Amino acid sequence: MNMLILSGVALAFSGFAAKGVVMDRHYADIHGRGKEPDSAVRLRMRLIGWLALGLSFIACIGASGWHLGPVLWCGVLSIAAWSVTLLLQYAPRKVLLGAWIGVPAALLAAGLLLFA
Amino acid sequence: MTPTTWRYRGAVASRAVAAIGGGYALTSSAIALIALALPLPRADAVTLATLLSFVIYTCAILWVFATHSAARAWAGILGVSALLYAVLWLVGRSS
Amino acid sequence: MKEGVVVKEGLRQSMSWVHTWAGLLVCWLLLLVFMAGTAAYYRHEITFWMKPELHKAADAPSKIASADAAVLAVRGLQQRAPAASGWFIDLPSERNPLITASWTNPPKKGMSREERRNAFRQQNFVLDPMTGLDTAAPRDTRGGEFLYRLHFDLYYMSAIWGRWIVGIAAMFMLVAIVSGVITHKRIFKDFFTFRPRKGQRSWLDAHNASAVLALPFHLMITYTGLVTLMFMYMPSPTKALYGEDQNTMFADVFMNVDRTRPARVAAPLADIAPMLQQAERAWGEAPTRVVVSHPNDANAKVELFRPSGRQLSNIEPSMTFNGASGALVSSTGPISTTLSARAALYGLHVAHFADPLLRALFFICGLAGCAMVATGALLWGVKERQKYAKIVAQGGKVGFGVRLVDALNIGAIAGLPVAFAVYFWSNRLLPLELVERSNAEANCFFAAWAGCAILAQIRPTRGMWRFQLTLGALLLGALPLLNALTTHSHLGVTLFGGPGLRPVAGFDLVTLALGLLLGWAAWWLGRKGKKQALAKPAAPAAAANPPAPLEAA
Repeated sequence: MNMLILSGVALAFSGFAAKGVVMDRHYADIHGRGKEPDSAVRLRMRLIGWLALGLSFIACIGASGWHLGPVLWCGVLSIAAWSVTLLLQYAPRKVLLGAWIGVPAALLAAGLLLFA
Repeated sequence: MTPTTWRYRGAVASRAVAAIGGGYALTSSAIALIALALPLPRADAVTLATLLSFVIYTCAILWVFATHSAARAWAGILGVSALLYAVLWLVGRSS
Repeated sequence: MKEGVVVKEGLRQSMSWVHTWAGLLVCWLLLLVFMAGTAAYYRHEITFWMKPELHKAADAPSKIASADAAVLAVRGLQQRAPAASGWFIDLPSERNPLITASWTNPPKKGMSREERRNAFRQQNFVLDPMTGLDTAAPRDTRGGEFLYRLHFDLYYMSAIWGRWIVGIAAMFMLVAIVSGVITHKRIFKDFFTFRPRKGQRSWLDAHNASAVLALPFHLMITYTGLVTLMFMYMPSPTKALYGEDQNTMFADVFMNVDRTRPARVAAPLADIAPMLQQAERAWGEAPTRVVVSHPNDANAKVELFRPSGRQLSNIEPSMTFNGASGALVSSTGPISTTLSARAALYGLHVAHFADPLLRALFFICGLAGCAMVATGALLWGVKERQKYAKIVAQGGKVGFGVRLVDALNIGAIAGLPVAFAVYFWSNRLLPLELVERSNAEANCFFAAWAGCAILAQIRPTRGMWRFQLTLGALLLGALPLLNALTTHSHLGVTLFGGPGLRPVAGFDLVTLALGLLLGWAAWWLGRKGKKQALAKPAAPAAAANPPAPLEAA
């Protein structure tokens, strides 16, 4: 169960990171002043972000059930959002890198949910 | 620049009373009516109505401060409360 | 607010005004409520840390069966209080490794409130599950229960007054939260925004980050807080449907009222072990609480409670047995959706579920709530202070409002942690045989807070901030050291001992971490002050003479 929660946290982090890096202010912080993300990139990253957040929800439900799961998810979202916020300020380029953690996390969560 | 005239302060105080006191009266009457109207067993009706109270109270308070003028706020609060209390009284009479 | 003028931004502006004043008027009280409430999530652990006499017994090498623990407790109760009106037993669980038992006597006429309370405090004992014997008598302390009660009953006043004051403050907070969301223009665009070292904007970012990024929690905790006492705050539906018969309403809604009366016919209590075994077979897990009504009476009832943790409702499922015959009488029946919703909201506020991770998340969000309130109050001070920038530069003084808010901020934001620390220090240092010791500990809390608040009113300066933050940092951070000097359950022991001592280690580590956090804040303030002093050209003597106020950040 703890691995599932961990993957839930990683997925939430990944989702927020994906949505954060295509926001005007943060995109400029990463790529240089005045740069704006391409609208196709923006859409893709936003969708990936929502997908990761959705998978994070499923992981939390899988970990704690339908009653406590959503409560857990809200807490997980807060932790992930604060982490992304601090990282976007102090190490914006690392956020891009960090967002990739969503991929192994999704695989782990899927594996645990389907086979464990 | 917020005016610090007595007129402004009076309007603020007036709205505060309408919001806090009037809002509470409005909420009280509204939830009593809701409890009477709900087609649920007594315990459930009381619980649901009381649970809703804070939502109604918050909305009333915010409306008082969002609306055009203190006079409007009072008119609204007093009007709705009076209506609700009237209905409550009628219901009390008929039962 | 525009009187009589329609402006497109009118709603945002009015909500901004409401948000500011609803928040500012109660923020310092809310800080107390939030800090004590957040601590209350770990009230059992805090109480345990504050009763070091129990630590040895809790460091058990193995667990005993619940049924055996219950038998030990019943034996102890039969010896001490065979004619009590009720027995309450807490069996060893994850959060409480010892057997705790207490009893209530039928109310005697003519007992004063104080006498009843004292009697209540003495009517309990703790057993070591390994030996079945009494543990060393724990020191007289209210432990975490003091902090828990503080956050809704307040203190030095009747509980009803405290609950009304806190309830009104909670309603202010609910209005502040909702108006804050309405007025927050760029709530999505600024979702991840945090810009340090930009003065007022940084405080706003901090306020937004602590508020918006845990908004579900803040909204939930405020609303559910009101729900816990909702029948007191909003009695009109009860009056409408139950008239004056409030007791029936409570019995219907809370379903935990003991309605049996004693038969006044003696009948020995049946063996309790089979009852627990039956419950464990039915539930798949052992009961954690046993309540015996009218023991040794023909109408005795034994109620076993299941550990609540799987569902949101805080109503613990139970099984009831006839005390004299041992036969199962009833199990918790189905409960309506509405009533279970209320219980779930109550359960959410109290976070009764035992999951340590979830509890830790609630604790962190509670701290975020404290940060939200604190940054909001600080933000107001910074904004107002800017209006006086010119006056101050010419050697004048800030307005009364700003000075008052500065002083209250110091007293609450820096002074409250000092009060908490002093409460824990008093637990270790006050003499054990002191009369009314638990009251003395509480008085130490308030004396420390009062001291900080008064000092802050006298000199609301940056220096006072640093002094109180440093004091809090030292007092909190040194708690593990104090623990080592005054007890045998210091970090060297608790980190490597059994699971029973982990709460003690956790307490030490968390206070250390909070102390470091305060220390960092004090250090950061000092650095900022030095930077600003260097950046200013040689100031005229008139501006340098009065104590340097907290400048516009």
